[in-house]
Order: sequence, then C-alpha cells, then structure tokens
Amino acid sequence: MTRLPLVAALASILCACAGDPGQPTALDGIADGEVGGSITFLNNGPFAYDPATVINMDRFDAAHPEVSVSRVEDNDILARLATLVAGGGEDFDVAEPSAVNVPQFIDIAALMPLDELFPPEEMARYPKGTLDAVTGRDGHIYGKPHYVLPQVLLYNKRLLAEAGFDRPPETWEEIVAYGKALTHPEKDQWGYAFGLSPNRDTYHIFASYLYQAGATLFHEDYSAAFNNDAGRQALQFMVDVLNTHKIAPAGITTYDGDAVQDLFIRGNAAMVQNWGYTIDRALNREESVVRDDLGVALLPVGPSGELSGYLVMFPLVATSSTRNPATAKAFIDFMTNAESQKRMLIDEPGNAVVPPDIFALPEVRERVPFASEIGTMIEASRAEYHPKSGQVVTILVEEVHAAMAMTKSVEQALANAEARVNQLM
Amino acid sequence: MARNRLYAYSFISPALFVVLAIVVYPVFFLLQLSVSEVSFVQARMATTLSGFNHFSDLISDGAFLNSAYRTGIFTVSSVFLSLITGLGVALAVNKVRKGVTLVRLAVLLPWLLPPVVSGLIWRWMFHDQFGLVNWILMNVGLLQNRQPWMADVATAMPSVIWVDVWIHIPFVAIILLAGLQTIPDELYEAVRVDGGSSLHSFWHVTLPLLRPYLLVVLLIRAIFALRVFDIVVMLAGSKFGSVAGAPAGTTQVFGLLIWQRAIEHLKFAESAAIAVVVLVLTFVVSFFSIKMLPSKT
Repeated sequence: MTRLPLVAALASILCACAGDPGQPTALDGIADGEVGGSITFLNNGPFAYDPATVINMDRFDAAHPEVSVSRVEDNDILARLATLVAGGGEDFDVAEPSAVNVPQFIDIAALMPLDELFPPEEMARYPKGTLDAVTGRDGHIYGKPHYVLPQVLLYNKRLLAEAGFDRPPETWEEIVAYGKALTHPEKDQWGYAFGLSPNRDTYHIFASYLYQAGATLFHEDYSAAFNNDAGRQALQFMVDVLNTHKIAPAGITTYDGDAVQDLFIRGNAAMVQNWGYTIDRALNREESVVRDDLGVALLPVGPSGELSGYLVMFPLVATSSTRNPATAKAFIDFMTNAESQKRMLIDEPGNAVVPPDIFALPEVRERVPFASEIGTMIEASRAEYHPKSGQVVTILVEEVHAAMAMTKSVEQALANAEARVNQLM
Repeated sequence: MARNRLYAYSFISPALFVVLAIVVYPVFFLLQLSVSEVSFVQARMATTLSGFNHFSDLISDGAFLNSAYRTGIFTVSSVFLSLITGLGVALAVNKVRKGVTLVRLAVLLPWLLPPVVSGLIWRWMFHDQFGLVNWILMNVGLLQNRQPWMADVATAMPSVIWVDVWIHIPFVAIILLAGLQTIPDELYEAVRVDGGSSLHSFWHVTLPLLRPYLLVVLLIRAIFALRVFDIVVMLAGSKFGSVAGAPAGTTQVFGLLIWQRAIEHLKFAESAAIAVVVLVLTFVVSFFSIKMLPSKT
C-alpha cells in the first residue's frame, strides 16, 4: 500500500524524462503508420562539436524506436547537395546546410516543402523576417531553423576602461572613435575587427552593415537593392575601418569567425563584431585572456539608427528525393520543437535558436550567458532569399573584396555587383 | 596463335574494364556535359546536347580569362622556380657523402605531406598576426610592419607559388638526383683534364645529360600546376568550400573556377567546358614534352 505513491511518482518522473513524445508537435496529425523505417541525417560538421544535436537525436531515437536514423557528418554540405542533384541517388534524407546555400536547391526542386511544420501557433513563434531565407518564391517554407548564429559586439572591458570608455560603442561613429583610441599596432592591439573570409562570411558581414545602413540586398523581383546611398555608406565604412582609420588588422579579409575569435580571446582586439559562439569560447577556453573582462553588447547602429544584423541560420531541410518523407518531417519537427530548442540553447553554448519564447525561459536566462543580448539581436536580425544564392555570394565576395583591396572604388564595386546580380534573373 | 591472343585478352579484360569505368567513362561524360545544356527535372540533372556554345561563351567570360591569366602565371612561375631550386638541391645532395639516407629523407619531407596539410601549415605561417613568417622577418629586421601575405594583392599569388614550389622541390630534386647519378665520373674527369671549370662541367656535361630528366620533370610539374586546386583553396579559399580566389581574384586559378561553377553555382555544363579546356592544355603540354624527349635510338 505504502509503495503505490512511490511507484506512481517514479512513473511520472520517467514519463517527464521521456516527456517529448507527449509534447504537442506540428506533426501530431500524421498517422503513426507513416513514421517509421530509416532515414539518413547529414549534419553540418562533426557531431563532436554539436553535443545538443546528439542529445536531441538520442531523444528522438528513444521517442521513436520504430525509426532508425543514420548519422552522417560532413563539413561541406553544399558539395554534398550539389553532387546529390548532379549524380542522383538517395544519399541522405535530412541535411543541415547554411541557409544561404538553400535557395538554389529550392529553385531546382531538390528540397521538400515543410509548410505543415508551421501551423499558425508555431509560425507565431518566429519573428518577421527570420524565415525569409528559407521561404521559396512559391511561398512555401523549405527549412526549419535548427540553430542560428547571431552577431553581437564583443568587447574587452578592461581595455575599454583603460582607454577611458565606460560603455560599449553604440554607433558606427563611436566604433571608429573607440577603435582609434584602442589601436596600438606596436603592442599588437587592434581597436576593432570583423571576419571577411572570402566566402559566405563576406556576404553575411556586408549584409549586416547594409541593414544597419537602412538598405536591403534585393528588391522583391530579386534585382539588386544595395547600390544606393545606404549601400555606399555600408561598404565605405568597411573599407575605411581597414584602409583609412586602420583600426583593424590588415589580414581581416582572410579571417573567418574563428580567426576573429582568436584575435579577441588572446587580447589582440578590443572589440569585434562576431558570431555568438565567441561568448562561450571567451569565457571557457584555456587560452582566453578576456574571461573576466568580457563584455557583450548589441551591434552598433548605422546611419539608419535601427538595430539590425544578418541572421546566419542552419535550417534542417528534407530532400525531395527522400523515400521516407513522413519520417524526415517527423525528425525535423522533433529536432526543432520547443524542448529541443531549449536543449540547443543550454547544452550547446554558442548556437542559438530563433523563437523569443525560449529566451524568456527562466532556466535559459540563468544558464545562458548574455541570453538577453543574444535574444534581442536575433529578433532584430534578418536574412534574405535569392534563387541564385550561390552566384550572388560569389559576386558579392568578389566585389566587396575588390573594394577592400582598393582595386576598385566603392562606387565601382557596388555598380559592378548590381549589374552582375541583375543579370542573373 | 589466335587462341593465345584470346587468352591474353581474357587476362587483361578485368583491368581493361576498370580502366574504362574509371578513366574513359568520366572523360566521355565530361566531354558530353561540356556540349550540353543542363536542366533539373525532379531535382535530377538532365542534359540535352547543345553544341559548343559554352566554349564560345568562355571567350567573353571575364572570370575565365582572369583564371587563364592567373593559371598561366602560376604554372610558369611554379614550374620554373621548382626546376631551378630542385636542380640546386639535387646538385647539393649529390655531393653529400655521409648520412645520405638521412639527407634524402629530409629533402623529401615536404613532398610526403598531403598538399592540404601543407596548405594549412602555410596558411598559419602566413597569418598576419600570429604567423611564423612575419615573426621571423620582423625579428631579423626585414619587415617593419606585419605583412598580410594572403590579403595583399601584391603578395597573395607569390605566396601561393612559393608554397607550391616548396612542396615540389623534393619531387624535382629526387628525379634529377637519379639523373645525376647516371652520369659517369669519367666525363667530369675529362673536363678537368682539359682544364675546364666547374661551370664548364655543369654546362657541357651535367645539363645535356640531364635533359631527358628535366623534360620529364617539366612535363609532370606542368600538369600538376595546371590542375592545382588543393593548395590554393587552403591558402586563398576558405574552409566553407568557397573558392573565390581572394584577394580580388588574384589567385583564381582554373581549378577554383571549375569547382565554383559546378558546386557553388550548379552550372555543371559551363564548369565541364572549362575542365575540357584544362584537359586540352594538359594534352598539348604533354605532347610537346614527349616530342622533345630523346628517342631510344
């Protein structure tokens, strides 16, 4: 008799631990018989760096014993998708590409629409603009955000204080003023840095400054919208940081986010505009000298006066060649439900999620450093869709780098980029 | 006799089949793709023959012309410099009498590393803030400020060429060393007896007798250089697979352009046309190099 409440309590704890199957999902309407069999999931990069993904996949396995998920990791999802469409076959069912690579595969019908994963109540969780990068020109949604990398301004409180600044910069003008005061090349100390590696990083960073200046990348018809005053201000600011004010290291046009992070956590840069994962590494990496001096702020505003930034996203997509669409959708649905998103935020510091409601959870507020800044930046950030995204990235990388290297003027670079983008459609 | 021949063919048929499958078919597919229009039906690539328009388009394709120019600079510089330095190393190693094995092993080391690893090592060594190259040059007083080797349009391509030369010096040196060791000492002795200098020996004995080896090295190096991809990606590309040939397209060799068109732009036919151009160039280089080789007689 006395054991009954104990057994009941244990049972309820077990149910709570396994609780996700009971949690309402967008796919509750799908008949049980449709979900089953095997699928292959292609993860972006090694699982060793994605602990939350592994945790959530384990939870999916426990919740769906009728499904077998093969776990494959690859650093170059773009090449895998390209070879999939070129060579045929059913290489994988679900993948985690960068959102910027997704549109060109939507455009050739290589991906499956996932609209049913966004019933009204789920759709309401995503702030305006955060799904634009995965919404095709047919209006269907082809990817569900798995994780996002918001950009934030990271600064070294000690260096700023030594230079007489008691708060982080809030505008482009202040970035330059602070940067000049904090740049001491003879001490290997730079005022400001961002990573302009010749890949999608350049696209993301340029778009970020462009949004801060008040422009967008494309018009509704996908023609270029950046060759205007705001575009010129954005690119000129980037060029000036490097070549006129000289407040950033000359090599930033080769730096990716990791290189910018190294510069910052070793104390060689006082302020950097970089991805949110830098916070965790600045706080926890052994070589970090900024552990006790880390400051995180919202991105400074540009001429538009509005907080903005580019939202780098890694959605889960399902290939249209999958032989198991219901299971692929169920997997994506599970990996992006509220519980999985909470795990992502807590168990994989640095990778964030889109819905603001997750940031409002007390557990998240307690355990995720600078959760408020990250959440605010995500809400203020956006991304855009272009059906020829691969070519657009190449064009912007080439023209922005030409301006940075001063082989073209800002005006020339933007005019060339505009003409080339407009030729695509 | 005919039966023996049948036997012989039956023995080589498995190997022949493998060669056909992994060499002939891909080349045929490449040629077919280069004269086709590509469309995507149900997310699958479909091709229809369209003629040589992709080749004629290349004439006015700025990126292709830039790549041709960059590949030319890279190939000529890298092959020439690796031949000169490799020959110097071979001559030096040929003089070594003690610890020959150790010296040869040390010389071979850069060639034993996979090019991707070498590219990564040099990427870090060229890093403007933390790189060894700047640290050494600044400490010996040859540099005042940190040089962004891979970000500067003036130094990016020379840096890539240097790394390629560094990787291939051992290959050149080992082949030329083998050639040097076939030259009889009596010939050098004869030059000395006639009062000739070391320069005379080199010019009138070493170089003429090394000619076939030099041509073989020239041929293989030129083919390697025309097809270069991995080293340039590691140094001037990025880990996200993007191969923009930074800075400002100065390192955009053919290999990068082929990858970019196919993988990043999904323009498989245009990419195949460029690959065919590289294939033809490689054939031309091979043809003339083989023609220049002395015949057996």
